[in-house]
Amino acid sequence: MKFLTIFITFLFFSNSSLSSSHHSHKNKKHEEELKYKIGQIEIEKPYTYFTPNGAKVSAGYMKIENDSKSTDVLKSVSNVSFAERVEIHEMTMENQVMKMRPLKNGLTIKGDSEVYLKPSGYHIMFIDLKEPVVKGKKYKATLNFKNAGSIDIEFKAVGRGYHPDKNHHKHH
Amino acid sequence: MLTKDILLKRVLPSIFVTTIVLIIVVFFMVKKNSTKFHEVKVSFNLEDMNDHLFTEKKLKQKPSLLFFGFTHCPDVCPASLQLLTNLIEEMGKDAGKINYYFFTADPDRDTKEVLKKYLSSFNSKILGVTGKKEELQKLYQALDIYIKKVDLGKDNYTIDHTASFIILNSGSEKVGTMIHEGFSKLIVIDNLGKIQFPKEDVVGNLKKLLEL
Repeated sequence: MKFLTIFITFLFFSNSSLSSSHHSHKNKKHEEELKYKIGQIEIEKPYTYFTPNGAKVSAGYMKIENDSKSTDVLKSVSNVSFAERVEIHEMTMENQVMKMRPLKNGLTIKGDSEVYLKPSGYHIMFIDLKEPVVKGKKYKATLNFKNAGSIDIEFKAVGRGYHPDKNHHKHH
Repeated sequence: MLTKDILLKRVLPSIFVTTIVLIIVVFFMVKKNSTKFHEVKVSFNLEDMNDHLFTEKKLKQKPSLLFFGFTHCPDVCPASLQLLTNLIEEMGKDAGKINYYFFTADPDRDTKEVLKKYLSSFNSKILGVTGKKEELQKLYQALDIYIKKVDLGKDNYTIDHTASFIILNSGSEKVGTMIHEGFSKLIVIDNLGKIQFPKEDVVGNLKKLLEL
């Protein structure tokens, strides 16, 4: 059973990466809603985890796909009403030591490639939260790209067990 | 002549081989002894989130799982606390045989009150501990925990920190660690190869390691 799930997952991903230009048309409606497009930049499934009590920070994640031939840069994130400040961060883990640094020049997405913002990698950092992030609620933000321009998106607040890829197959 | 021949051809080689075997055996015995768990010898005065004094004696009551983090950490700390919460639930009735501690890496911002509020979102068995920087430093050093404050400008800072769990037995000996795999799983790592179960069986491996 487990093997079958892995196999199906593999099939799904190998298929979706081979036919990325077609699969957006095939998707069901509820998945369409989690996609945003500006120019040649596509944003998929922005999410954030609901925060522990009294937390002052939280992080937002998504997949960014650049279908153009040239490099684009996520310069900043604005219009976030629930936090005082927003930064784009990179996390690294070396010898079990976790390090987090702001990407001062933004996040680069090369032409014809995709970048995943996910736990233990890149994230949008929401600093000095004005209110707790509540499970099930959606949080607006504007992503500002160097070439593609600005686009309004919504982060969906989910629980810690959530993982965007797992969600396709309803493991939980 | 004959005895000399026997000595050269039979006795000497066998002595040689025996010596080599003995050296190898002794080498491995010494090696095994040298990697034996050593007691964490440190004394400190800290406070837990419920206003109780927290000293090294607390680490000798039961085996303990220790994590070092801070509440201004967006990613690895809440993820770790959630994984620990899941683990405690999976432990079932054995959960009470271990103490679970969250030591702050950021005593300036993580007061007892802050820790108590933050940890109320996770399993109630997880106890937050804070205190003076110098006292916490003693514990970080004794357990080989890397903690470094990094200035990010605009009155903001972050903390580079070891993100693995430390596993102590009831004799306060560091018997292993628990590390993250892709932020969604924990794996038990020990030094003596006591682990018998597949890495997915975190509860089984933990119990085996701590002889629960």
